[in-house]
Amino acid sequence: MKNKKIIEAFDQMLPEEERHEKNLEQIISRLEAQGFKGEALPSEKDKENETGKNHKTNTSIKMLKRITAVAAALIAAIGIMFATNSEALAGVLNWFRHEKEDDPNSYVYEFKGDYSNKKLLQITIGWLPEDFEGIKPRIGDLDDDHTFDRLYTTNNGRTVAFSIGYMDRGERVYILPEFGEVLQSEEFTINAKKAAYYEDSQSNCLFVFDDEMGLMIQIDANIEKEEMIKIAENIQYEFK
Amino acid sequence: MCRDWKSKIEESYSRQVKTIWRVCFSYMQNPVDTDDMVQETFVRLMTYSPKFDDERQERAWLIVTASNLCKNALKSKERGCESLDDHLELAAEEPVSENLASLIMRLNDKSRMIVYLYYYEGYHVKEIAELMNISETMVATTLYRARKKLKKMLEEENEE
Repeated sequence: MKNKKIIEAFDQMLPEEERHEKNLEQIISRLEAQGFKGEALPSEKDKENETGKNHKTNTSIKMLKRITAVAAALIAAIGIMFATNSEALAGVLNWFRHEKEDDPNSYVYEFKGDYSNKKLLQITIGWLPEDFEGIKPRIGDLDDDHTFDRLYTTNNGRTVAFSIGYMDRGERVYILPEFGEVLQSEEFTINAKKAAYYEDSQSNCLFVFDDEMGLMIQIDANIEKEEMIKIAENIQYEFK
Repeated sequence: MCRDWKSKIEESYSRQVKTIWRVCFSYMQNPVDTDDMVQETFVRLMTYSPKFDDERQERAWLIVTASNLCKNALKSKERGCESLDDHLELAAEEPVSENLASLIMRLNDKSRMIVYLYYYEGYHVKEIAELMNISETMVATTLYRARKKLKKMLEEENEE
């Protein structure tokens, strides 16, 4: 969706044509200095990860990391909050966090529960805002990473995505959010389950932790908090 | 052979340089560093010599490569201290758009890039998600936030 004013604004960043011409001269000089003969240089294969060639290969991995990223930050935050609250001690014992030594931008979460004998059977999204009409949720099994994601979108740019995962025994790595800092976080209960709302400069996230079922539901959206809470209140799920 | 590769780079360069310059400038925010990144991007294009089916695929490859090079450059060194005013020396005289240009430059790197790809290049949300290795949700959310932020900044500017 092109926008005339945005196009004008970006065009103002462009320099005089002469600058482009000088850059082209320098590019050709650099290539000549490298002994470039018109064929790919073998050593350049090592730089594949900086080029566009491999970007699609990594997309699914990055998407998964993104889906779980905000959850990681929030779990860290509410883990600390709950740690000071004796009533929520059981929640704390279901997970804890430690930093990943070789990657300062990652955390490792260890879940202490054991829900390996449970199998998610059906999830029902009982309510969505009116403008999400015509989109029927399709339900699938949890994948190997215990993450389930469905995207709902409308023409006006409002988006809701669901992620559901077992808080199961084992270690999981999360990447910290790419965007800014937490602007707002709040904890409360939804249908007697711990919930936390989180907002940074880019998105709103609502998490519901079902300690009994060992299930974490994440709603990542750009809609109002009240709508997200109502969505969460009306999600139903059953196990085999 | 020598003549061939020079013709090839000249053709690719003339087709794509404005797009790549805007992408690099969005990240680097000063013309000198932008020149370096633009040059490096096209050097990579030639020395890696990827095969493309069409110009759109070529542009996508160049955008991803330029973005990655800029991000790596920003990570690896402290940037210079050129001010926003220096950047706006490049701006034309039309007052409303000049204002918008300066506001766009105040968005964070990723928001600015998504706004550019969506509103300037006309990429769809799904395509942007693939180009930038992020989810469609994030692209849509970022567009929503960026619009909201730009609107708020414009209102504040108008009040002053």
